Amino acid sequence: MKPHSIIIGASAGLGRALAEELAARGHSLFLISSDIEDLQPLAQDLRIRFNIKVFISSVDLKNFYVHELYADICNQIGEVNNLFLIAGRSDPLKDSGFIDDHFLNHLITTNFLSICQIVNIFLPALSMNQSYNLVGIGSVAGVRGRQKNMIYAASKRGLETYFESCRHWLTRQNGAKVQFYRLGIMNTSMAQSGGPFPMADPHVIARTIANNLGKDLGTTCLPSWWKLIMLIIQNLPWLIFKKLNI
Amino acid sequence: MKQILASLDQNVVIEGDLFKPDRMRHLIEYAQKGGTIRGSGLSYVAAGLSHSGQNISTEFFNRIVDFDEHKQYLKVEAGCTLGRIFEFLTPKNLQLPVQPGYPAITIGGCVAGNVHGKNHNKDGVFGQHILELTLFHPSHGTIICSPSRHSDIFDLTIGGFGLTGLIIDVTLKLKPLANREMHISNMTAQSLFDGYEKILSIKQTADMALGWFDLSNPQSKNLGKGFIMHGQYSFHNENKSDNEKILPSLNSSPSKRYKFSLINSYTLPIINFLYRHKNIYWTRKQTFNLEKMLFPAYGKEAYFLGFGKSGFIEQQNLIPFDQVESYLKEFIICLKKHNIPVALTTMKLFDNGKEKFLSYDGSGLSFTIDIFNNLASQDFLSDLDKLNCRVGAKTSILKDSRLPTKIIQYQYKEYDTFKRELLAFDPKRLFQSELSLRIGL
Repeated sequence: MKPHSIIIGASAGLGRALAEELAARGHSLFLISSDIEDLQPLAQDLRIRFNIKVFISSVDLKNFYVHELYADICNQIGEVNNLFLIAGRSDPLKDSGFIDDHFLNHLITTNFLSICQIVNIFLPALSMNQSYNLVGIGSVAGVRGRQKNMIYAASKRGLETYFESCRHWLTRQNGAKVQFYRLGIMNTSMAQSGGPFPMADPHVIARTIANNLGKDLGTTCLPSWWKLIMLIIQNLPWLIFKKLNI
Repeated sequence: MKQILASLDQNVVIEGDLFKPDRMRHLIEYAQKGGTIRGSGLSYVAAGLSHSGQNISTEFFNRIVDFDEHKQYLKVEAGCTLGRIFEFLTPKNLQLPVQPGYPAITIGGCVAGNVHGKNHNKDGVFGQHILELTLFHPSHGTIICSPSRHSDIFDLTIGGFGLTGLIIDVTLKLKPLANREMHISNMTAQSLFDGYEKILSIKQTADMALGWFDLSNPQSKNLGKGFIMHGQYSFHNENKSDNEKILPSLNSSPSKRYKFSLINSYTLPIINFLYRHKNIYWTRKQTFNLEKMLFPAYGKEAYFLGFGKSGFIEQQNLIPFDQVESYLKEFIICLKKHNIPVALTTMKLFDNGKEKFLSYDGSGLSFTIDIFNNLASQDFLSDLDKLNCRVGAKTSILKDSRLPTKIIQYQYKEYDTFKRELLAFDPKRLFQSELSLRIGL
């Protein structure tokens, strides 16, 4: 039987690339995003090109009921084999210094709280089988606090810790494998430019994520050369770090 | 974000704001303000770029949204490429009836250019196979148009250079694919006119025909020698393996061009000599996979890069049948007078075409040349413009990036009608491009 995969944040960028990659591998998909205008054509495209089952649901992570979403998914797709939490939101210009309270809540809800709620409700089901997978997306932005992306980076670092805990718990339950990716800058509409670094192709990242299903990876960097950059940034003495306009 | 953007021939290089929305609501938000709609960015004449307004890419809107194998139609978003459609349709033994020669070209671009393939005498132009399209314009909202519904807007959009607004999706008629392979034969041509007569002689039997000629050295005794490549679908499926993934890499960015011209007046005669002899003596008969026939420029991207930063100019002329002989004679005289080496010379037939607005359509011999972009070439093309006007030939607006407006007005009888109707539809002229500004639209 082909696996059933849920993608939260499927309408654009990495989520969409992952939907295409999994569809090509024959997965039945449940795609979730706030943009129904993009989910519908994407679902149609995947059904037509790959002859698979695709279900969609329009959910705004800022304002949703996790029990309703869970019931909707279970009713339509049944057993869940892979859960991908891709959704995220960043705005480096607004997320710096004093941040508007409403926007601060929005960033924490979308990048951390809602993701934790969704993972939490699926945890019992994910603990039932070792072949299941729980996949989360972090960011290299979370490696060290800096003046830009303050709340986004904090949320992603928090999420990384939560996934680490999930991995520990699920391993002790003989449950799902956990993969958490600290992603470098990708060529999507969310990233205007990679600065001095080349931007990764979401389709290449999606292929790697799909290839890694079933592996007990824990936390890792994609593309892998970001490990070196992160190591340098992490170990930069404060005297130097404080002078950097990053 | 400001970027250096260029036409494929490198004749137009500008700094412009390029936006690549990946959500429909963002795409519509950008289109609300007007600008230039950009597909793959491979226009020869800067139809998809603008220095003053925003350049809005449809790259991410490339989904197949409806398909009926039995009724033989396909609905795709405007950013969907020919290569993606080819990969999808070929295993189902279906194809688009008309396809230009590079897989990265988008369906939106095909609509806006009302493009042709190598089978015009059989299947006409792209616009003839469009069942319906969805257009967005800030003043009119979303309009679904077809030959029978809002036909005036439909006609204005087909071959309208993207000036009527944002094409969201297009429903296309399909045709059965006889085979995934084509048997190709090459016939020797002793001159341009000999080649023309040979193409005429096979037009009823060949599924596709194209002439290639060597005009690389205007003073050579071999001037005009070439071959006619004609193909027929194979009756047997000798190779049933799946298509390879099509990964087009052609890019109009100046940064991708070689710093100096690898294709020049010294190397060109050698390249052309080898290419002609290869096709006449070594590969006279071959069986090609379909993608190699449909997309001849695929895999030959180095040709475009080889002209270097100064680029090239392509001119494509539709010569009335009764003028072909005298035109080709005068063309050779003009070529010798200016001593212009021609990098690429091809010809194909157009038949039973309909002249509408600014579309390159009609009946006659479609004759194409690529030359270096320099002052001598500009003088040569000015003389060629006069010859074209004298014999009633029509020059493709989408190929020649220096074609003067007065020549277009002379050759395209409906230029004023198109301009008037475009202005009536969009009095604020929200959608502009370097092309539209240059040719007075």
